[in-house]
Amino acid sequence: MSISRSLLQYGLLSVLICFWLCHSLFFFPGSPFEKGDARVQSIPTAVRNVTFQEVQRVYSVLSTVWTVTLDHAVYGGATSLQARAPALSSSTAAGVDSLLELKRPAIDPEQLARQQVEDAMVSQRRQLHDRVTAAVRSGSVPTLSAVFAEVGSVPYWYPAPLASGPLGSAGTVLCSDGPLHLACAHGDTAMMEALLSYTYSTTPGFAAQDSVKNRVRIDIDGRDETRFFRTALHVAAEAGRCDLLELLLEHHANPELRDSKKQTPYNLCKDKDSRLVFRNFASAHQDTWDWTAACVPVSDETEAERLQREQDKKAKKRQKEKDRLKAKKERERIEKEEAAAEAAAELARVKKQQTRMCMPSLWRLFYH
Amino acid sequence: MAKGQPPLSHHQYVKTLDSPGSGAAGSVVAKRATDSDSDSGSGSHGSEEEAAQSAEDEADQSQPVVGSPQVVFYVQPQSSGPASESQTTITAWKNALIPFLRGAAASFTTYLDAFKQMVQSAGSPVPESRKNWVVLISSGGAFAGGVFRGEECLVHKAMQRYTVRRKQGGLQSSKDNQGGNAPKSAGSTLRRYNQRRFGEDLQELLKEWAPFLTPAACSHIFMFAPSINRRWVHEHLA
Repeated sequence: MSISRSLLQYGLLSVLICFWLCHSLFFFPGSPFEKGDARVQSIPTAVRNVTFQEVQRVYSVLSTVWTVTLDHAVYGGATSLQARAPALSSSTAAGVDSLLELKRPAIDPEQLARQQVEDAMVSQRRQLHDRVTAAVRSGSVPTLSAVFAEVGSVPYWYPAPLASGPLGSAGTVLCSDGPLHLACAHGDTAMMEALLSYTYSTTPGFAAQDSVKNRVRIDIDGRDETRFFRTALHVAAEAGRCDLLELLLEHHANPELRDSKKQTPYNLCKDKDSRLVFRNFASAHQDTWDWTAACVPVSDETEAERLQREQDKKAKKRQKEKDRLKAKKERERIEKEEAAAEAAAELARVKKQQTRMCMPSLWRLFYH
Repeated sequence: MAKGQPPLSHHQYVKTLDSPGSGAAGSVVAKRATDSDSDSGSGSHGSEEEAAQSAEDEADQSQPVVGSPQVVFYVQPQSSGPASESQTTITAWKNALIPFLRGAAASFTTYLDAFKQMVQSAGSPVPESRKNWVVLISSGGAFAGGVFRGEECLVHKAMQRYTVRRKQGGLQSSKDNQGGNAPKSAGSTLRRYNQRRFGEDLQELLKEWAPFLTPAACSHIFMFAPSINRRWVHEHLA
């Protein structure tokens, strides 16, 4: 009984000592802060490990004010902004006022009207794009020409700029199913030619001609943003359409552009023929593009010269083989003749020996 | 935490809000605590109506806020143009606001006042009027802490001593306090000594830092020390 009591006392005492120890860790007599101090707060997030880096992280988390703007009209999701409220170098009282009592001018009715006009334009562009793609899919050139002829106040551009400003001023509408891409996938030469008459190039050397004013303008290097940002040349190369490749290259499609997987059109070629198209074009137009950037091997000789050289090489090889066989035959013949001569000589020697061997036996015959 | 764009400085933040086209058009009038555990239908869709309601219901606003470690303020849109389709919220940590309550009961209104005070003190043009934030972390035989003012760190210190039992885990003192005889091995003696010295080191450090920690210089002290904190939080709630 006395033992258990002393144990209990000891236990209680040690617990008290423990509390006192822990308590004294931060709240000791003479500590800069006290137990009931309102400044002392727990850390409301998980603390991972006891390092200065973690201290910095905790500080940045606690001293940050999250401002989230949910825009249901445009995204249906969230775009978020973060601001670190106490962490700042300098700011004005006016800035604080504007944060808390935000005074905004009402939305300009003119701006609203302009926005509506632009929205209408974008939707018209979308409809037009659908008609063009349908025409390309059907593969009929007259339908395409008819659609293009009908294009009126709202021009058909691919890639289509989002706003009606000058080219490249604003973002672009998400570009998928470009007419050139579609034609590369399942079109014929006639369709491609019809489309190529409306194309322009943004490459400095082949700056857009007067097509900026045109009602229909298709960027020959327009990228399909839904399929690895590939250009029409990529699609044609991958599909192995040699005829279309030639057409595109002749119309200054850029072979140096890489898709989102960092592949050039030449890298995407599936067969020898399509690679050959690139190589031939490269050797014919060596200064037009940076063919090293396009990953196309270039040689000075033309394809015909190369073939001739290969044929010569083959003929030479054949001749060499022929000569070798001939020499071998000759050698064999000489060897045979030599062997025959040797054999004859041996025979003669054996016969002579035999006659010499006969003489003593005859002599013995006489003396017996 | 929700991911988003990287944090902006206060200056940039104010600029963003000022620029036209940002969704934060309006004034911070209505506010509601996050229901992180009981958030069923009260997502961002119903927030506008709720914001309007809570703006009217003053009685509702004075309810003490419980449950979430964060408090959310809804920015009420000012105009009823297309911008009203967007909803802006500002989220702040309660523990960062509590020191600004100055003993007032926790409620939506007092939290909003505290938030305004926090932003004002943070954005004060006089750097001297801004105060230090202190973070102290201690667990086992390790301590890390720093004193911050704005972006800069004034002092920081990390130290460590061998006090935790190998393989077993736990401080030597907790083993000693389990009852029975405390072990007298060389290792346990070493750990016991280290734990004592650790406390002393910490005391010395805090005394050294005392000028940074005076109420005039320091507004927030964030503390993490598991065994201590638990006890302390219990006392605070009681």
